[in-house]
Amino acid sequence: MKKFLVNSIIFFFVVVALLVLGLILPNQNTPRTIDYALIKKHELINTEKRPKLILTGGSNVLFGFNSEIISQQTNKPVINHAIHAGYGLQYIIDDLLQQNITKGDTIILAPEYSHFIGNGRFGNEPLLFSLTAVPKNIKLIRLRQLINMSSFLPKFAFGRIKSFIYNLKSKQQPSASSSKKNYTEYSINAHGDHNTHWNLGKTAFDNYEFTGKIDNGALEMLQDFNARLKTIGATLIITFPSLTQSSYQLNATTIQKIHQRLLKNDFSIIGQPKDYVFENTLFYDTPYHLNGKGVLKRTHLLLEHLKSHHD
Amino acid sequence: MLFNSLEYFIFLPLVFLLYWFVFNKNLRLQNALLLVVSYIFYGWWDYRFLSLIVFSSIIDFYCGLYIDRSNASTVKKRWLTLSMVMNLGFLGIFKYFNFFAKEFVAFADHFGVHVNTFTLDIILPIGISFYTFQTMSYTIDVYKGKLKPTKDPIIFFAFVSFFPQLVAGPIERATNLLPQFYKKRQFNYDNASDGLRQILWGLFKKIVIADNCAIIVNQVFDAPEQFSTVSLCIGAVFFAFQIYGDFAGYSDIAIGTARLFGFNLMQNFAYPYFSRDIAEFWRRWHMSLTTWFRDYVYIPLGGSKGGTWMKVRNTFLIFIISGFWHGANWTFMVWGLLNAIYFLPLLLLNKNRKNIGGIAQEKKLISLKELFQIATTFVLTVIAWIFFRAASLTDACLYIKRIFSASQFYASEINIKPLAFIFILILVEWYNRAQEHGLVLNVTKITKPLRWSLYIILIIFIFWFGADKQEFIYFQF
Repeated sequence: MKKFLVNSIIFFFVVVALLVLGLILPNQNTPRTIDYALIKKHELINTEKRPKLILTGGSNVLFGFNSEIISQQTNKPVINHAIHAGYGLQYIIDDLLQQNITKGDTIILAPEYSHFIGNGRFGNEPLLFSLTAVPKNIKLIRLRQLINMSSFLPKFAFGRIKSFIYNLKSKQQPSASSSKKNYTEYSINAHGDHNTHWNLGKTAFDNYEFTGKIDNGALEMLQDFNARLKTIGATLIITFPSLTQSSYQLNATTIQKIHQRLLKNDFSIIGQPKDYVFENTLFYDTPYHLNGKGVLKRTHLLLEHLKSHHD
Repeated sequence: MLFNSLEYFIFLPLVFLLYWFVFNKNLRLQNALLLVVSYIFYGWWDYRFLSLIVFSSIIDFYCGLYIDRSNASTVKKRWLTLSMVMNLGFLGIFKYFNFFAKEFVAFADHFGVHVNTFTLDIILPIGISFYTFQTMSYTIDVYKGKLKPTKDPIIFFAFVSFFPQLVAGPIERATNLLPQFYKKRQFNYDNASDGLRQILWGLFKKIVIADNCAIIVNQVFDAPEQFSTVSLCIGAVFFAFQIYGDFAGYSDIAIGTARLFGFNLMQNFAYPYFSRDIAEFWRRWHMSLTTWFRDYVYIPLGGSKGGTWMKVRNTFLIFIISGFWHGANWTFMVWGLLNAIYFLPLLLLNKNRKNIGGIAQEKKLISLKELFQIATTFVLTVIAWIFFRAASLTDACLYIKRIFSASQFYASEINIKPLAFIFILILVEWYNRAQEHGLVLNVTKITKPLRWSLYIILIIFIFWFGADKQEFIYFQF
């Protein structure tokens, strides 16, 4: 038994050492993933001294707006802070609150529906990618987020070793085409919107179906966020993510329940979930990532909703 | 709790340490621990369905005792009937009720009679087909006098719910597993370390083979009209390896885990895709279920002792029931029927036990004749798997029809990366085809650093090439 235990423990530590190696290896990807765009987004928020409008949420927001148009129409600087729904609502909010949010700022949040279901608000694998890009955000991570992430840790660490070896072998150099690629740190415009896909056609994608129980914790999280913003003198406005018709049909009951629960709380809400349900041709590569035409439609819809909200 | 989850990798060492270091002094306590952790393992998925296992265990425990105590055969039969009705009743309600209700309505509609019926809004409890068959084998064996019933409820309840094989088998016989709960377990280094190797190989089969194949299989089977002949053929072959990797992988993990606790479970798969005919395939595929049907249905029906007609009837019955065991869908029954049709010529020509020895024994390579036999058997099973995987008979027919559209012979548009993994699987399992599992190593010949390097390579493979976590297919059965 002793021999078995000793061998098992030694072997376990060999595997753990490999995992640690994966976590500490430098990221040599060129260009780096979209997660690194968060660094630029932080810069945009923190250098803007005027009252600003910040769009945030998951990738439905990253792929959902033309902030330049919103900026022209509202006469305010607009920054798109969103990256990935998989970061979880908790991290998205905590990360934003770390930035320069001041009196007069408006935060337009379009939380993903998945954030209200199960433990979606705590994030999963993409959170690991974000922490690699912005290591100082480790201090924001709470126990529940850590638990959610932990099951992805081995695959993530080995994935990093794999990409490190691959990069050593291929010795990638940044090229002119790097800036045109999707999902990289260079795929965003001066406002933080993902724009390299705006002129690309629709690709094949499956419907999106979310399953699980609605989690009231996400609503409490939004209430806390609202209260925090109020103390700063900023405003929170909640809107809804874009979705294809077919995906909406699949999830209509859950979406209506989420909508009802949001309405029961004291939030400023613009539009209704159905308003942001568009035909499939307006989407790019998922049932919630809009293409160029879809971006324009949603942007103008948001401006209309904002106008009627202020009126 | 899934075998391929982080929870299980915390659960397993904890239970191992408690089992060998805290509860090792007392066999009864060790058995009690196994019972508690088995319930935790099952309850992790849905604790409400634990009541079903507990209820089923109580009934069968007492049925076993009363069958043994009764002298009159009518009384014995009554207790056996109670056990059968209860076990098959649960299966009927949870697994087959909605199927029969819908089919009844469709049948009546066909004759212009409109029937109002209802379906049950219930989910299928994981593992119900497995533990139900296991407990049925207990009462049947007690009834037949092959086994003395246990008077220890802890042992019986632990036997029914033994966590390594609770949700997807192997379906253990009481005659094999129950006596092991009575014996004091001694830790055996070789057995435990080989158990760990078997777990590792099972994880490779599940995560690298099955989960990667699943991605392509789902694409192709969801919209066969969008794919070419080549892609559809690859999709069907990938499903054959997906279901093998998934189920044989689960069995490897289950058997390996049981070995860590000093238990020996029966072999469930013996390299079925190396079979030279369909009869051999069925002696190598899901052996615990095949032998269950043989012992508890085929032989009581007369087996092959009667005339040709009886042999044919019993064979067809067994295959169709086996198909139906997998699920309430016509696709499974046609899958069973197809296998019976494949089996029929061997049965009629009395060649169904021709290939009972090992494949290419004491040879490294295979003869051309054997290769042809293996390839033919594989193609036949792949055709049957199309029915097994398709959502409906119409979908299965559409799939096969598309394969034979002559204009569709253009290059494949699907990711064929899993072919490389399948190649590794075939190579390793061919090398070890005479062994209990694919990763049996001769520890006297292979040095420790080499062995450990091999384990690390497999772990790297699992994490580098492993697809997103998917549930085990056989959970739905």
